Amino acid sequence: MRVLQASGLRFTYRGSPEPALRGLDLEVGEGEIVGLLGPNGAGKTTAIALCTGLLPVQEGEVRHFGEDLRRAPVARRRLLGIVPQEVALYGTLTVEENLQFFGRLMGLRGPDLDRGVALALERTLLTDARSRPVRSLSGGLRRRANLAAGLVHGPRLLFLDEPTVGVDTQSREAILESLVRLSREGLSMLYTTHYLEEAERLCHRVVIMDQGRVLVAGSPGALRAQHPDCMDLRALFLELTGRDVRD
Amino acid sequence: MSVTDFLRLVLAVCGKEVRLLTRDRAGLIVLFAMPLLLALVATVVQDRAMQLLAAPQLDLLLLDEDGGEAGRILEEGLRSAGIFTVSRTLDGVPVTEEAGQRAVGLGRYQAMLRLPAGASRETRARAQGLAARLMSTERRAAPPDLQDLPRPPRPILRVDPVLPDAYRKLLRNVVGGVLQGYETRLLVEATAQEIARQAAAAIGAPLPEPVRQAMETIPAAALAMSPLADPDERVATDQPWLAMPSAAQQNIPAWTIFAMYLIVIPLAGSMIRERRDQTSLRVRMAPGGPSASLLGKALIYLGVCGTQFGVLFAAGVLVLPLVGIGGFAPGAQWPGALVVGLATALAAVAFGLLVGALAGSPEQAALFGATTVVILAAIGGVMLPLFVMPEPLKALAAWSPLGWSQRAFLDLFLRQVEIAAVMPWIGRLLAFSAIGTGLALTWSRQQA
Repeated sequence: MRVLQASGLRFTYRGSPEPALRGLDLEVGEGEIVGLLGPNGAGKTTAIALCTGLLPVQEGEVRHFGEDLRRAPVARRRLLGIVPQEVALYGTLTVEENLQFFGRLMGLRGPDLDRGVALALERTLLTDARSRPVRSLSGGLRRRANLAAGLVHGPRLLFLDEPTVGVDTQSREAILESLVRLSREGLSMLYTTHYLEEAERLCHRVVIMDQGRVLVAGSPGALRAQHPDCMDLRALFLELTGRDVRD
Repeated sequence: MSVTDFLRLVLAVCGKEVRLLTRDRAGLIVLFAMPLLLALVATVVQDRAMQLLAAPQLDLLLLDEDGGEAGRILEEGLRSAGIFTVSRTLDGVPVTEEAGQRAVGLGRYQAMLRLPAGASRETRARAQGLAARLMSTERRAAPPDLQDLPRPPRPILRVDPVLPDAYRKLLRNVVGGVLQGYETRLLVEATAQEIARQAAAAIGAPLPEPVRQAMETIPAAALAMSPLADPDERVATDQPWLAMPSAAQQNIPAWTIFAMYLIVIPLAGSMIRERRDQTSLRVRMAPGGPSASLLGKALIYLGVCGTQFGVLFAAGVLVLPLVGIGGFAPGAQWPGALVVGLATALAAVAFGLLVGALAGSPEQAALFGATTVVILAAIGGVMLPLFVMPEPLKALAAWSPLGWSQRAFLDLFLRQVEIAAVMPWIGRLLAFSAIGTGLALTWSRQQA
């Protein structure tokens, strides 16, 4: 079953002359990690916002677990999780208090909440840091706490927007290992990153997009095979999107 | 989503907001300690100012060159007014013209009154001459000519250049009143003596003793009449037990309103921070999350306003008397005050939500929010009573939600009106709250 199916997504921000997305198609299968790659301004964050329902679909369709997002009951959103680009946590609350709050917000309570918090802490190796205020954590621990907050309610589809940005190698390894484990357990993920070697290693499939359009899609191995002159994903990315600085 | 599930979400948001608030020491100081300090200090200062306005204490030097009855009566009259301290010496020695003038010029004394030599003697002589002319038995067609009567020397008043005009007039009035009373007594005395003299001459024998004694008591009796010029002052209310309004009655409600509106800083700040650090994304992903988040925040900040109301009013009742200030007296209208307090809190929360939706950064929200609150407080009569403001500002006060609350509180606490009488103010506050919250929700959705 397709956990996420987006087709023909077009979106234009109010006041903008150019559309941010120009007919995007995306699919994520069960337990699959799909990498959404592209330079700044390619439309990755807009795509995630549309797929999560944070932005209203203007044109096209988004289906979660086979059901149209616009017609699905709101409770269906509890099957989704998000790990935003920023560390979206309250700095003065402890890691555990943050997880409890976001768990409650997603409808957990009682033993289910305790179990969800404990599991999220364990999966992100944060059990020892549970009582520390988030603002006292290192950058790597904060990123892991950010991931834990997206996992606390046990989602089946997780959206990750550059979850490893600005962390050291050890923390990045810990996060990637967690994601691999979660994928094996059946969690589906749509993942954006600028670290192409990370995507190559982690993702079952990647989608390279630019200017609101999909340029290529497929497994890293298949894409390399289709472009034998590119020795890796990084080379392919640069060939497809160019070397011009975008910002 | 069921109502129970939604209320659980609201409860979760409330719990989170309480934790965030109680761990923000700077925020707690802004919300509670600063307004409390402000209310107490402003009340003490205004109480002192009101005391000075109501009963100023002016230090006077009396240079009595006359050394007679006029100087003694003048000193007694000034002292009995209860406004002046009168001193005939300066630095331990009798005051002189030069030293006194210097002391007044330097502000050590507010004024010096010089009574020239001969004032008593000349005043008495003028009174006797006037009585003789008035009682003259000669036939006359016109009022008697008084030009050749003795003219007492005028007293000279030297005042501190910075003494307010109102105090100068007060001083002149008191001095004039005392000396006029003295002149009147001398005139009545002289007239009575002249009547007695003429009566004795007419009957060709001394006056009978009872008549003579009666003539001697006329001056004292005349001056002992009930003075029309000393009205009995009472507050214009149908509640006779109501005390004169104190600084506390003005300041405690005023600074409580001000404190309530200070929630704009943490409330708007928290909304903007959630947008900036993307915790709002997680909230928006949750079914019912955005509504529960706004409602939870609003409830907690309503609670903050309620706590501020309780703390500041309790301080007004309990703390102010400890520092020698007339305490705040809520009187019989405290249930109405609770309703006005709730309406004020709703308006303040709506304002906070509105600023939170509009501002782009916590710094912008703090600056804009605090400045706007100060301006609205100033034009609303919160910082200074409305009656001291110029007319254009009084007209602006009609547009200040803080002013609406202030007028409702003053009506309840000072005029002791029923709650029905302040319903127009409450209605405006509720309308402001509804419109502000509606706009905040609309803008928040647009930003999302």
